[in-house]
Amino acid sequence: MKGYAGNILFVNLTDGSIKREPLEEAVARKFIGGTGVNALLAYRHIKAGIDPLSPDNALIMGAGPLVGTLIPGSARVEVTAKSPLTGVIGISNGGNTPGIMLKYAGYDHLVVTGKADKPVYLKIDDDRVEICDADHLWGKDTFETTDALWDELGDNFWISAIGVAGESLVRYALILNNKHSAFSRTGLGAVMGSKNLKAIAARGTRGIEVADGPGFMNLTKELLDKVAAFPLLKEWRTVGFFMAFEPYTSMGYMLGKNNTESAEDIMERFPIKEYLSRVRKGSTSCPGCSLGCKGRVEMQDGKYEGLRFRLSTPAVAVGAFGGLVAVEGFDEVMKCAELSNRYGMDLDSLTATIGFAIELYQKGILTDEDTGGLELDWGTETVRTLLDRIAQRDGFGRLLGEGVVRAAEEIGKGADYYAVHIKGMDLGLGLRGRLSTENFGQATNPRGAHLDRSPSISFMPGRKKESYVKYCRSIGVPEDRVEAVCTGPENFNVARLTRWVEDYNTILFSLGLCHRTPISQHYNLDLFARLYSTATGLEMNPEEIRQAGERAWNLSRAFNMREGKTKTDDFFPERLMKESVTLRKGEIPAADPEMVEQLLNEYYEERGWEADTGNPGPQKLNELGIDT
Amino acid sequence: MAETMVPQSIVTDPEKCAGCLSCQLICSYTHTGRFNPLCAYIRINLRDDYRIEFTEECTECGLCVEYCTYGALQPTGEEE
Repeated sequence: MKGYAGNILFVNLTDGSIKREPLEEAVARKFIGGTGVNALLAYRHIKAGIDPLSPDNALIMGAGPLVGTLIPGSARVEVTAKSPLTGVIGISNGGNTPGIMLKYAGYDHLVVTGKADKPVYLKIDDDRVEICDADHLWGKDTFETTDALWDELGDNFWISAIGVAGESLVRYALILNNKHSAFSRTGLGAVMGSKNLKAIAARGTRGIEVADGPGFMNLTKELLDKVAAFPLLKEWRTVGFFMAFEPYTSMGYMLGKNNTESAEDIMERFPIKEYLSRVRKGSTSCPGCSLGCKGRVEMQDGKYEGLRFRLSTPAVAVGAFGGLVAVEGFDEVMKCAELSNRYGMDLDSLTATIGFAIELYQKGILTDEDTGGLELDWGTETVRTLLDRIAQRDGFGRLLGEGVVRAAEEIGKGADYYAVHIKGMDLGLGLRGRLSTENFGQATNPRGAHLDRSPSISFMPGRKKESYVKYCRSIGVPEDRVEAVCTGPENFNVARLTRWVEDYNTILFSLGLCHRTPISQHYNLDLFARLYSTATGLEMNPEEIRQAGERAWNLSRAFNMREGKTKTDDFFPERLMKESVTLRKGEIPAADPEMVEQLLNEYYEERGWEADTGNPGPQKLNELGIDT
Repeated sequence: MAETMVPQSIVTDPEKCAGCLSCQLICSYTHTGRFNPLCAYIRINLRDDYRIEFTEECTECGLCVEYCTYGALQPTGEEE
């Protein structure tokens, strides 16, 4: 089996045992790699009902068969565990990570279980795998930890590190890779912290061979040429996600102040000209990617003149800090972004939690007694104070480090109404108004609100039916389902289309590819099959590939089913079904609960799941060859 | 660690390097049959400044320049 490294590495931190098992061809064929094999390993090695912060949890890192090659976007590595934030399957995907080196060292997947009795880091150097003392690293931030390990081991090691927030078990602590690329979401940094695992350092000299070199390189060149010819390539490199601000804010997908009001002024508060002249110094890319959508921040003047760091998505930092909690200006936003990366906290969940707290305080649900005398208000002062306290779980920061669901339970007094989440995960995009597969998919994703697995052409309104029919065929919708999927006022049924988009994108991530539009638009299911066979030498037809995505998706839902999750956990947040939001163009009404229920029922029907539970039944699991 | 050399036909500009490592990937694949940045004859230091170096084995075949889309590697005399 080429393309794959061929092994899974198991490390038990309790007894110090290290073992290798082959990645079996049958498993590779059924689950492809990355996301898919991670789902299988999570199902096998994480028992139902365990405490995510106990030694019983497993931290699983997986790189798919295309990872580490020159195929555009082939750097995406996934980490999976039971999430301490949500209690369901926790998934986070990153682009510039030691998962790539792990593969070069000979391992497609890493499974870390148990808990060390003192701080350690894991050193993987080809066959030499060691659990090393990390007393000297404990207490350091992610940048300091990574630098210390580079000093100690050499620059050729790639590093995943947690900061103080991971050590103090903030439930949305992240894992930072090579000082900039994050496994941000679902609190997997806290899983590392709970295991006393401060860092993972990997170096591999083996590399990756492909089965059909000339065929693989022909496809590589073809794809590289397409990415290079993408008309908005320059804009993606320079402006990045700022391009999405206008459509996102004007459609109400992106809101301000704990999602209560329009964020349409954000481009006025954060002018792109200022970003390009004072903030952004250049691009940062994931390995093998010619898009370069990550940023290199270097403040040219002002309060933080000389502040330099690389940041995955500067625009997301502006939307989160500048929008959700109203931090003022680029200088303070970039300082907050740097600090949250140093502490190791997911800035989306961090700002969702701080915004939630500020709103509760202003409504009188939280009092000075609760906050320890802190007066909470929108803007930099409150955010900077809480950022420090949450990372260190100091005073009021202890409560907010629990995330919005647990904090709301502890606060009581109806606070849960203001916690806008699905399955414990704060929303990435709004759910009022127009629904595309991207925002609707937040409801059905096993991880909870998650955008990356359901983007499709449906984001842009006004497409013709022929476009949807063509798109459906490209992602593997069977002919007998195309009509039902391509129907409705906008020529698509969002619930039914979401099902097929999820299967397709699960393969994208299982192969190890990126979902960013300038990259992903050049792929389709037939191409996945060709890439897979030229890389691995294993022949799989497009339908077999698609079904592997469906299998992984169903297994992730089965993981949650074991945790007692049902269709009620897919429902939109109550607040979004009761309150409208006012934008410049007028009011966007609250989501209609009857419509939500109907859409979810259509989704379950399209998936062949049980209508009463919203879960895959024995027949479906059997059909997919899933042995639960 | 292999000795470094300064190629005559390639001009480097670390300021433009985004760290995509495409140069290393095509170099390692072409010269060793495997994708792996650590086996390439060109080195990019991901630590902070994305410093660019070439090892003694570099034959100046020019593939790294061809695959660099960020302008960090350019043929001598054609640099912007």
